Amino acid sequence: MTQFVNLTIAGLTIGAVYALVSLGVVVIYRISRVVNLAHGAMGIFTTFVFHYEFNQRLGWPVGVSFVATLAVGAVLGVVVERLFVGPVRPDGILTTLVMTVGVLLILTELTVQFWGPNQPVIASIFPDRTIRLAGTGVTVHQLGTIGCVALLGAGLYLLLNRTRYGRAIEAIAEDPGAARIVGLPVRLITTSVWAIGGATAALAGMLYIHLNTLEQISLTFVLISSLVAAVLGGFNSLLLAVVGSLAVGVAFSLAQGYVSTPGVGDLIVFGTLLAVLLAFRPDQAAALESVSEY
Amino acid sequence: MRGHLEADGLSKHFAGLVAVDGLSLEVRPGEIVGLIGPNGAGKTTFFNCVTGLEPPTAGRVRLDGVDVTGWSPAARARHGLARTFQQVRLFRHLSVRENLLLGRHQHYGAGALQAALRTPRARAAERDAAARAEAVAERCNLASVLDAPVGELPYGTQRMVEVARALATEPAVLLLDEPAAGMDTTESAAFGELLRRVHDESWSVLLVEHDVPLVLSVCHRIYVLEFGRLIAAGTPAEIRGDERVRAAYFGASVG
Amino acid sequence: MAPGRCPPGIPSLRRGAPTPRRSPRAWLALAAVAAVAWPFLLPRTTHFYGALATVYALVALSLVVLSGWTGQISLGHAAFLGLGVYVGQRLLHAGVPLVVTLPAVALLGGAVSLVLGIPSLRLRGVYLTIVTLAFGAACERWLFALPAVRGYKSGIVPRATLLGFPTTTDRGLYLVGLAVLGLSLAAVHNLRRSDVGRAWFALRDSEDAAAALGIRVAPYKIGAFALSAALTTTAGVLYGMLFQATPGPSQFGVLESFFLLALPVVGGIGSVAGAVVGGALFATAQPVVNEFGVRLFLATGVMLAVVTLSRTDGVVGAVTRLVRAGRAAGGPAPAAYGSFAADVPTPDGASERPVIHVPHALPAGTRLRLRFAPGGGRR
Repeated sequence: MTQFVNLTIAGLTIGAVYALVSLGVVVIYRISRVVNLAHGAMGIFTTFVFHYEFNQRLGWPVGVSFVATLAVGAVLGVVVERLFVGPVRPDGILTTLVMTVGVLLILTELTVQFWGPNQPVIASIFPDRTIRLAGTGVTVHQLGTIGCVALLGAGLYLLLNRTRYGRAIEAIAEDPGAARIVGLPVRLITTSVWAIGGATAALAGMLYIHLNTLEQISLTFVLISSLVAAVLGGFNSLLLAVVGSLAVGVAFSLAQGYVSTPGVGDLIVFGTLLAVLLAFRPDQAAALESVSEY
Repeated sequence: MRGHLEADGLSKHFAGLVAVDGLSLEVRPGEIVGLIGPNGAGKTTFFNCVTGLEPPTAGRVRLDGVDVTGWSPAARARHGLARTFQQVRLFRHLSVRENLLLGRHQHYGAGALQAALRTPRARAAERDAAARAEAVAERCNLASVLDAPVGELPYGTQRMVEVARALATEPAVLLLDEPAAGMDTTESAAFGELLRRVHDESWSVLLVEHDVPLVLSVCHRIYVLEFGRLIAAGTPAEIRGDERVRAAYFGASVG
Repeated sequence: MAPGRCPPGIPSLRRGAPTPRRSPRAWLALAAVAAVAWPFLLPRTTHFYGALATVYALVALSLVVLSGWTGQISLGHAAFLGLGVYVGQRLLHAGVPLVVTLPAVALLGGAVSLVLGIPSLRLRGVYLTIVTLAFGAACERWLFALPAVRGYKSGIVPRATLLGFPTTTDRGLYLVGLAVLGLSLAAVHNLRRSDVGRAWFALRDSEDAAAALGIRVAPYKIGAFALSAALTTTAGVLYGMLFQATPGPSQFGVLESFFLLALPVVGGIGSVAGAVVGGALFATAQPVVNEFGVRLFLATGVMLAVVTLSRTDGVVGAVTRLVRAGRAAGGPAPAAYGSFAADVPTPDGASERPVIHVPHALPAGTRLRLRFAPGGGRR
């Protein structure tokens, strides 16, 4: 029983990290109609900056590094949008997808190029304590991660669905030309949304790296996050992206824990993803509308 | 004789809205039949039911005696039902010639393996398709643009390419979905002329249109739709003088 | 020519006619000779890269068909490469002749591709791409970890002979790879110039319009996946032979799939030539990037970004554009369409718009003088 609880909590935690990335993916999709496959990689890159540059080289206190990293994440989001994704968006969905793949490769490889291939052992941004819960020990990091998701999820939900800013985002996504005519600051809003997305990715990265010591970084990160946002939210629903990410995290964790065959978790994810997509066929009007151009 | 299209009591209900209400019409072999009506009359919905994009709530569609209600659009196409789209759907990555060649898909005389090996049969199939595509292009005055990339053509020409591509399938019935949309009066008149010129008795046309002068000048018979129901049917002369049609259009020039 | 109204929108004389696709036989023959001859002229150390280039070109070709023509982006193709490596190794090690192993593995790849091909009928766009991503991950971490697929005492891949032709040297393997590549290029090129290739494009551009022409979606989509998988799996056999070992599954993961996609995108994903260029480019890239101390995948990502930003169809697209621009700059631009409409006043004061068909290309700005014989002329 304890193992089950442990695995579930671990699963929720990793799921929470995926949820954070998913949230960013959804937010970016909402403004740009782009599936940012590079989102996870953006997070990892900024986290390496956090660890190697701010923590180690500059020796800043964790709190300062944390905030600085969020800023770096935001800037990275803006850079990716203005230099890479934005210019190719008119060329169609497939081209944009290929571009995000390119960005992913660049960021992933830059981390190795700059800081070497080894996974750093990063101290958590939370204090290192364990709390007894449900008959087992839960670290503050785990609780904190889940808490972050709850907060961020709620915050983004409110921002996107209950404010004029959120409505502006919808308008811009649907028809940027019309939005411009009506007087909406399209460039500013687009940039700010990508900044938010980038910062979210940075947060996810900082939480993820502490948890993850064995897996090859960023790849599972990339996969699961975009998968879950796709499957359940149609890239649009924040709530479903979070719920789905948590579910995937728990399922993955339980599968790894109870089944000895390696890679069963991945198989289950693939199978479930396929089954859900085929059964529900999420609304992909936006995905289909444009003519594919290379 | 090919080209007999029948819609029998076709109805389409959406939640709370009756778009098409018990519509029966007929296109006899060799005819050009027009379907007109003011905005919201249900022309597009009817069109979608006939082409197979949407299942009707009630009624049947028959093509050359065969009940095709419930058939997929591709199945209907294979049975001889060709169509154009309101917004021109040409294959933008292909030239005009290749678009027309695709019109010969159903009559292509070689399979994939033969094509890959470029057997004599494959070569003959390709030659045959090319010849027929060129013939269609010739008939539609498109010979000069055969190698043009589709995207560079003026809209009216693209529209003609789409019609030519549909003709290349050797259809029994050609359904035209507002082909004159986006054309001015000169262009649509020219389109009508061309349609009359290339049409012969071996196939028939159902022309769903907004442009009433075009329909009056080209069609043998016309049906008029209003609020999903037929309000008039007859020759262009009869329709031109019909009070109900005038009333339905309210100030739009008829004839 | 009978006078009549001209069809709507006759285009005016324009520049830059797209040249009809035809393979210049002389160039091909020359290229073939060069391809066979160069390993006899260059040092042995280069032969490895030649062999690698044939492997990469095969994979790139497979993606040209699937992603370039049919429009289905695959982010999991390394799975097929790995499948070819592992199954190929087992068959070759068991003594199955190479001439049997290659088609057997190809068939297996095609069969496995159904896992993607069948869902592709119902999923489109980004969703299918993400499924390929998940597929790649599942293969890397589950399928390739299965003892039945990989777990084997010896990972050595023998350099088997092809119908007696030795592949012990890299040059020998290169020539075998070249033969396989050549056959594949020919077959795929033939398909492109047939109804099959056009149907693939039709499905990419508008499934509705394709349906209206009676094109059945399933055989073409499934077929594209199967052909693509078969080509890549076959390349896997050669890949294993080249390295004479089976790399671990992590070599056939997501990053590798991205790298494989870059091969045709950078070369030019729209054409068979692009596959060859991309394959050769990336095969020879490793030593070059090593010189600069840049990681290969980093360079790959940069190249992907550059190509995508440039809006050309990769290297081939850029070269084609340059050649056309060069031709245009070198002389007066040829007119594309040989017909135009002139307003000709008729005796009764109305005007007629006859269509005049000009069979030859004319430089822009040419003035034409028309003479009408009484009684009308013929076209």
